[in-house]
Amino acid sequence: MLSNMVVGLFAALTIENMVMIVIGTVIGLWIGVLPGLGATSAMAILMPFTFAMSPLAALLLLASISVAGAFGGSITSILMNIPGDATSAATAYDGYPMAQQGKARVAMGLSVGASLVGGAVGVVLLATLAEPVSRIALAVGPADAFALGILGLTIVAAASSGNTLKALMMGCLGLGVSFIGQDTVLGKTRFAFGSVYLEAGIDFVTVTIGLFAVTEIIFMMRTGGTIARGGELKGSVWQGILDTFRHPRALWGSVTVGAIIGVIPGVGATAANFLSYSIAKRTSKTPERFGHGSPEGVIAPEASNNSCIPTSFIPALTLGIPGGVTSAILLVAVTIHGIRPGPMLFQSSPELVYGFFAGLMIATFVAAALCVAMIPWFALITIVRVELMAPVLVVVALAGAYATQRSLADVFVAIGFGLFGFLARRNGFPLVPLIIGLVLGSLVEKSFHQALQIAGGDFTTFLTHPMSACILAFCAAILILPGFKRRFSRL
Amino acid sequence: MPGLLRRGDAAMTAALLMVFAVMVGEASRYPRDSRLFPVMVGIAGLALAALLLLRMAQGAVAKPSGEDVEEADFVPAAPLWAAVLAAPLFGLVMWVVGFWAATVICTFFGPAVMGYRRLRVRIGLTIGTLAVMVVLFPVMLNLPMPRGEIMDRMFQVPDDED
Repeated sequence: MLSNMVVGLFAALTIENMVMIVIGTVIGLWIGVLPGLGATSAMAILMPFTFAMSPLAALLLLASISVAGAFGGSITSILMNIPGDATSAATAYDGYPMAQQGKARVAMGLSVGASLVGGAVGVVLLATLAEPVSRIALAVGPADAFALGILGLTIVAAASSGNTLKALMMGCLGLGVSFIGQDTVLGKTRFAFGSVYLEAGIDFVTVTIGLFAVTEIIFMMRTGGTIARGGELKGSVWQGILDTFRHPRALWGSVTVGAIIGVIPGVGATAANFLSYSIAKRTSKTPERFGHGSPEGVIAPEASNNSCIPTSFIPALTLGIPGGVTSAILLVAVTIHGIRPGPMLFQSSPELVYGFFAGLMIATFVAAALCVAMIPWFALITIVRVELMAPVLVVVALAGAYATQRSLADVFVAIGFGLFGFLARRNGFPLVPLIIGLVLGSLVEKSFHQALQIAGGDFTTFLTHPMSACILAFCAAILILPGFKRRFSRL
Repeated sequence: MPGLLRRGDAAMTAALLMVFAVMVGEASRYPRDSRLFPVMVGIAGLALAALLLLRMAQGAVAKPSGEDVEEADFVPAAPLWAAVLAAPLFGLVMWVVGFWAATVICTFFGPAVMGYRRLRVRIGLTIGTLAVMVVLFPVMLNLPMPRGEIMDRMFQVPDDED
């Protein structure tokens, strides 16, 4: 193993590979900042250019974009409450209040520190545990995957600010939006109401831009002034980076959550981002600070989404099963270069596999260094007047909505969701469960049907499988226990 | 009940209840495998909405606060109608006259609507935004932005007559 790591490190440290890492990191950071244009879009656009490269250089270019995209996505989440990438959406919940308090540099320092630790630990786990972990991932059956999806929704709903019933209802609405288009079982078109646009389903990125960017712009225009309400910036990036390590529970807990979620195919970094935020809130000693600029609220989502990305490559490399869209694109790139993913890959091409791991680690550090260098400049956005910033944000957000699928209809769908988000926020309905419902919708439904088919239509299968039964019992406990607690405390 | 619906969150809950009802009604027309999960989710949504309305009627759910309170502390940059209509108007103008014209209108006149008067800054903002958008979309990503209905009609290429 150690000799392979050394071979991989030397393979990654060639000039060609280092240039690709730096190019990929810069592109990823830049694209990650723009709403709607996540790392996935950049990877898809650049994939044809990788055909002429060596396999390792191609993999490193694409993977560096993905790693840096997660870093970059948090920048606008913190500064403007507009996630550059869906995988950083939960970061806004405490990052933005910190920016409003003039602590944008500290919040971004926390984000860089947590992302660095998450990314580095994720790569170490990928390098050391890829083979055994992939075997465990195979043991997660459809019933368990269904239960995990329900757990995601339940935790997010229970941890949302305000009324849990409202949050659960928004989760159901998110699932409802995910049903629009082709159904995952028969391929039948549902809820399209005769519209050709709806037959293809509603794109997740479009909804995210609407609910987060457009909604936030409306609130921003109503509030006026500057994002940093005092009109000045306090604290430094390094203070934020050091503060990351003062909250070990949130940091290491979220790294673990992200790493586990990355291994499970189909769940992805967005769910990891929200889930770890919710878990950190529930386990924190100061949950009341969440939503008002808690450092843990920035550390948790950033540590988890960055640890999730490397571990999502585990099923892709060892089993040929992509853990998410990012690893699916990498899988395509690997296959185009004539390499067959699977357990034998570690024996047949150690310099490629371990070179990839070493390159990912280097990309994580390069992204962190670039972020630290750019943060003081980015932070200045928070002292620009809203009158100047809001029109630019309208342009950027809606251009992003258009760019996702080159469709004007997407622009109007994003606006529609933005107006809905405005009404929902005004009336105390949290938006996060809707997004989580939409993200997990197809996974939950597909797993539900697969489990039923395997069990011959027996609904008790979810309660007879030990793992799914435990997870569903945990869901019930999360929803019921707080009510009991309140009732008993009154007695 | 009509009195209750004057509360914003109660009206929204009632609207969502109707959405879930439509979802269940529409799903029941599909084959068994296609309808099963949407019906389950729809019924769960209906039950949650009904329960929430019931609890609101009993006064067990507090009125939402937070976002409105926040607003009251500041002088709004734009009136509510302008804030709500900014994005839809941009979308409409983008559809009619194209992305570039909409960008110019939005970045030049938008700040003025919100009370910002300095002409040079607005011109700089417009040129800067256009420059970044041009470099990003048509140049780097090779992504042409919509030209708008009017431009599309003016420069429409006639169909070949075979």
